[in-house]
Amino acid sequence: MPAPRFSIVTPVYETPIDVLWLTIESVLAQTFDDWEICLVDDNSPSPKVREVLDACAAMDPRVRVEHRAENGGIVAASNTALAMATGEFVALLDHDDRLHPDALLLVDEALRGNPEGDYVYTDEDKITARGRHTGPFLKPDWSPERMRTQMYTCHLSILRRSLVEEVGGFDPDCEGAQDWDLVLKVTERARAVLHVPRVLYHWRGIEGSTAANVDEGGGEAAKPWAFEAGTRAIQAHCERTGVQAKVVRDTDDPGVYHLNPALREEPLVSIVIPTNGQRREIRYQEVTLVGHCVRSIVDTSTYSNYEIVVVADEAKPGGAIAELEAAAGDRLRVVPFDRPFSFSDKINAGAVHARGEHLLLLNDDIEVGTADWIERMVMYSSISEIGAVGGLLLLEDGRIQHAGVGFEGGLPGHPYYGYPRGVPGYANAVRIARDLLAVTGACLMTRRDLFEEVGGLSTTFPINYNDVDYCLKQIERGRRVVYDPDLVMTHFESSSRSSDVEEWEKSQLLHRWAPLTTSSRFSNPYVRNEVPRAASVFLWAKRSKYRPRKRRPAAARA
Amino acid sequence: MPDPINSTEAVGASQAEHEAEIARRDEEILRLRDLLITRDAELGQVRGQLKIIEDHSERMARLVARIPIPGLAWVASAILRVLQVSGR
Repeated sequence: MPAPRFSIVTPVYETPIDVLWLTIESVLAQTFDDWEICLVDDNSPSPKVREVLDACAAMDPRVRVEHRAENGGIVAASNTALAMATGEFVALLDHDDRLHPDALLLVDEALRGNPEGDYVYTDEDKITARGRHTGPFLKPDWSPERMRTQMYTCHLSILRRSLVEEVGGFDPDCEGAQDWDLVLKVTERARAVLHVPRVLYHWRGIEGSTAANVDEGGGEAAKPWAFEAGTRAIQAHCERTGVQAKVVRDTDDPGVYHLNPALREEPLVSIVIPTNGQRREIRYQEVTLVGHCVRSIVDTSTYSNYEIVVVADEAKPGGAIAELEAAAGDRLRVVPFDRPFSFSDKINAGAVHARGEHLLLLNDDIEVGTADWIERMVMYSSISEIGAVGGLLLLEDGRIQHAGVGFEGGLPGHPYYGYPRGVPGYANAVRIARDLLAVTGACLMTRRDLFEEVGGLSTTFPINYNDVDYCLKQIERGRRVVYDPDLVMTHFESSSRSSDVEEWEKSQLLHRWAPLTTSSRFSNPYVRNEVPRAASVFLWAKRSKYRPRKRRPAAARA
Repeated sequence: MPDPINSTEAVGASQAEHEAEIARRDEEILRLRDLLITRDAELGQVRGQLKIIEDHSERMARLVARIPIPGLAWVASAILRVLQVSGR
């Protein structure tokens, strides 16, 4: 028999018979025929499991079954199933979940569209104990940064078998998070990662499953070791890829992880702050914005190797510079600016005088809220393919001002603007680090060589959109733009100028970047403003309806 | 009651007493300012929650507007209006 396109790998242990049948039946019902399923019974105590598996194997030669002589756990059983696989690709299916009838067909189509695809993932939903479909997870396209903080690709995952073998299959040290570990290892070597934006996998939330809510006996309560294994898997990945980070678990959400900086060295960082010396009231006290900003940097930052380059209008109030000198001392350098106001021009002027390896663009109406903010930014900025990094900005009263830039109709906006701090966002979007098309220039770090390579900020956007344009220039060159949720700053927004965007600015941005910004690269075509579109939910509900066929082995009927 | 600082009674008070009084008042101002900042943060949380509700409501209104049956759309929007009014 020639090798099939897909080998579905399914370790089985003491699965309820009806559920097991539905799982196998969902494979038999595939509209794409070129597959095999490798079922490995991990020595289940119940003889019924063996009966059902053997009956299914007798029904269809593509169903291959092996019974392990002793129970070895999920990793051992999965590796046994991997050893049985002969297909070009390996699809991971849990023993109690179900595939959409078109799952393999659509994955095959995606792979035909891009033959370099070494890893493919699809959207997913959950099935309750009563069989109801809930919580569709409509995922973004490939985001390496998100993958380091959340196992978001999860189901359905299809990996090129040769790569799986190359990395040694499932790692016993990562029992409970073996899928995540395997996907991280494979994607480190993958030529292309593909996303099929359709709900093609139905994850069953039975008692004891990670898919179930914590309240229902699932989640962390079900598999606490799985989340510890997750930490080990990400940490090992960071070490392999040179990310200078220490991985920690989220205290509230066991499925979320954070990268904390563990820098080997501290390169010089130039913080470039454009200012016109404006004064305003902050927390019931009149202050000079730039003075307040610089004081917060000096008082809060734990990073030692930085300079502050203030680009100041020549017509600024006289006392402002003296205030800055008193706060920052030798770290301060003032660049006088005598041209008409242009944010881009001011930043570019500051960058010319900056000596650092990394440039940190900072508005003068920002207050530092995270002690290791520079370390965090350097951690990301040091990764070769990252072009820019930004963080979570809050308004004066603690509401969200910026948690990454989103696009609607090709134009940028701030999803979650005005939402209370602590709101997790769609699929934890606010809480996790992730790749985006752009972050705000109010607090943005980029490497100096990358800044110079793209000609700095475009002066054709003197007031608005210069930051978005800069990020898109980096994206166009194949780099990534990252949002870090643990870098928290307060932004006394648009204190220094009007926030109104002119029509010509919108037209210019669309003219230059519409092909990139109207795509759904870091969103999902069925997600709008970080919320699943109503129409998509109807589409999902309709297509998720799935009735088992009549063909059913006697063992499963019993 | 006369103002202790501007009244003649204040003339006899020592410099140290004045300074202590000013320090006490400064401390009280700071305490009240901190209280205001805390209240602002609490208000921010509430305003944030309100923003979430408003956004949901707006999305529902947009969805209702797309219902192709006129009578049903009217009933749905009426329910939505009642909910919005009762939510205020």
